[in-house]
Amino acid sequence: MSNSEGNALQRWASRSISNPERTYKALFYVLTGVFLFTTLFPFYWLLVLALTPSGNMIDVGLLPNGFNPEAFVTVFTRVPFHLYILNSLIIGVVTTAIVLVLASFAGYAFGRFEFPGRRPLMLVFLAISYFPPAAFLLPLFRLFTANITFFTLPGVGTVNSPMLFNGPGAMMLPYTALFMPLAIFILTTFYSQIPDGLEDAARVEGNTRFGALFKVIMPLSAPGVATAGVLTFISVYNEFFFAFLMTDGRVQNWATIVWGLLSYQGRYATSYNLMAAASILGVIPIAILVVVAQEKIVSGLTSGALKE
Amino acid sequence: MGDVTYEDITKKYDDVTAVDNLNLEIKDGEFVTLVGPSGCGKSTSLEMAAGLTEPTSGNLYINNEEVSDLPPKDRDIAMVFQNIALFPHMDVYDNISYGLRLRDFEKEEIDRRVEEAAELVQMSGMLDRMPDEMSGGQRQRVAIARAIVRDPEVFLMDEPLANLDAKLRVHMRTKLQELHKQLDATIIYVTHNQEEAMTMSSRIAVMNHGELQQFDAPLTCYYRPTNEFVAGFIGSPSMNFIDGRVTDEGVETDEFSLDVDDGVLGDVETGKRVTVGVRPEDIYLAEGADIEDDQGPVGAADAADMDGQPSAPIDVTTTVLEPVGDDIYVYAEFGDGTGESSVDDGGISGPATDDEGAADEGGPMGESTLLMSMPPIPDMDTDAAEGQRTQVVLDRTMVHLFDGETGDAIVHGLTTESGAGQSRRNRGEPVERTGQSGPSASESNAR
Repeated sequence: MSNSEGNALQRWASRSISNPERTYKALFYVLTGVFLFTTLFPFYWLLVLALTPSGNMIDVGLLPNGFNPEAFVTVFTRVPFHLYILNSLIIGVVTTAIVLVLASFAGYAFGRFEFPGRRPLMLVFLAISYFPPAAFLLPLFRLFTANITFFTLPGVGTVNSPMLFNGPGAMMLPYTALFMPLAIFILTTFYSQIPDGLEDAARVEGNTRFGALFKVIMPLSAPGVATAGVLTFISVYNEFFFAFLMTDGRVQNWATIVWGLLSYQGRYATSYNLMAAASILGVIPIAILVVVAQEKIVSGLTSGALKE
Repeated sequence: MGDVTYEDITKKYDDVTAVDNLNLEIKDGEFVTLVGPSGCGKSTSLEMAAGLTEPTSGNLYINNEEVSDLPPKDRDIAMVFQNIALFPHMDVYDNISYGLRLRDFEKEEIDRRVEEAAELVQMSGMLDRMPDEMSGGQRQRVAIARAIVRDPEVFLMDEPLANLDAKLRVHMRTKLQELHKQLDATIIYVTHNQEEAMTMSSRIAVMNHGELQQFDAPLTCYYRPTNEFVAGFIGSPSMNFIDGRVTDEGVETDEFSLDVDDGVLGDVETGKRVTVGVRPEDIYLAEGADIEDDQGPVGAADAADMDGQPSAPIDVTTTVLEPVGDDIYVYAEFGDGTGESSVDDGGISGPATDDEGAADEGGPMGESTLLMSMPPIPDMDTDAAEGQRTQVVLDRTMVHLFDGETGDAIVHGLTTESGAGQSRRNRGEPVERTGQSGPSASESNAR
């Protein structure tokens, strides 16, 4: 038998050598399979956990140990999870809007003007985005909890930093700072490719420079704007560090999904099935966004990569 | 109204001076062309009028209003760009109406104006097309419609026809002139193509190295160029330049001498170095002289057909004959043809855009080739006619003299009868033999 197996292997090897396409194809499927498995299995595992009744949690296999789809409803009755999602969405959307507007101005300047120090300044921006958030968490925390005295006015008293803790600003400000550099970089690449003539035409036709930026340059850079926007939104939505530390975790204090998930952890028991169900629900907005925008993201990322 | 005035306008980029102390007064309703070789500052001048570039110093007036501090949108101008610059994400209607919508016009008014403008450029049925669904000529017409729809006082056009193919270019040229008549607005038009400048403008501003060389009607630039650069730049094929010096009887070059009528040279001293300029169409075969091909002599127009006054015959040897349809360009060497052939030396041949060098340097002393343009001879074997010895004469009324050092014009025409060109024009005869770029084309829109 081993002889014929050896023959089969030899046959397969010789076929592959004469026709390398087969090998590439096989490798492609293997790699894709591994990749899909590693990315999708956690979601499957979440689903299994979510469907398993809380009492059967001890003994979970590859299939749910029981069938309890009510968990997907219970997540909303036990805690106002939809409000946590809403907080996340609001913070994500507002941050994205701020980043896009500010990064557009920066991208316009970087992409369409030649000025001294342009490259170094760009590098500084990009470097900032790679700072570990933990490095400035403590100073920021003190700043946002009104613990920093800016100056003392005689007769009035001290002027302290504003109290942003437990508010959206405490998250949106650091997010904007952290995620804007990448958006600036993407938009710079795109805006620099819009021909000068179009901007000139818009200005002669009656736009100011800002008008030309928002009515001509931005629409023509739609893939770039979409890419920057989606990447920013996903980054904000996924962010854990500031979301966890800049609020006390109550939903009325702008706590995000992170806190929503943690709230299924009671003092005596942790409802893993509810946590899993909530996690799946929390992923849905991003999944929808990526499916809708993926074409633009891909074209945006690659066209940005090919030019410059 | 639509006056545009450049007052001491200078534009410097770092250490390069793009435009040097430009003074231009453009009157309402004029069609003025800024023309010159690449990098002469003509586009920069136009962009300064548009407000897209800020002058380093000087004042700019539109409608007698100082506009240097106004953004482009407040200058009552419209612009047509070389690269057309239609907004690719908008259809024709949106492109044309863009400026009107920004100015909050009523919807009905916008519709009416867009319809009118589209009709003027014959694009009525295509208002819902996107720019990438149209041909180059159609896009250019939309760009023009976008400019005229706002009914501005001044149109600025930066080589609007440069990206079109030759046939369409000539067509659009005519269209633009018709439009100019209908709109009765001021047009400032930039081109490096002297032919376009000649045919379309009421006045031409010839620029070189950022400086204005001459600002005159096309025919004046043609017949009375202020200096060697303008003489070489305007007219195609370009003028012949031969170095010479002033003598007691007239002007002498290494190859020939020309009589100059008494009094024409005024107080120019004897011995002064000058450059003799003569256009190819002002050179004729001497009376009795002929060009032969292998079938024997072929009839050609000679000095007998000339209106002006012939010079003494000059011995030349033909080197190359180029038939171009309504003309034959004959390159000839002075003398019996034993000298080295140098057909393509600067100053004699080449398209107009290459003439910068020629005008700067003039012909070097002893330049021995001459370009003449003759009426066509049917059935002539141009190859066989090369290397023939013959005699030519210059029309003395049409010979220009330029200062050998500065290049400034000294006289136009070596006779007292009248200045160059004047003689022909005074007699009211059409100047026919100037090639397709000649002044005859500028006098009629038909071409």
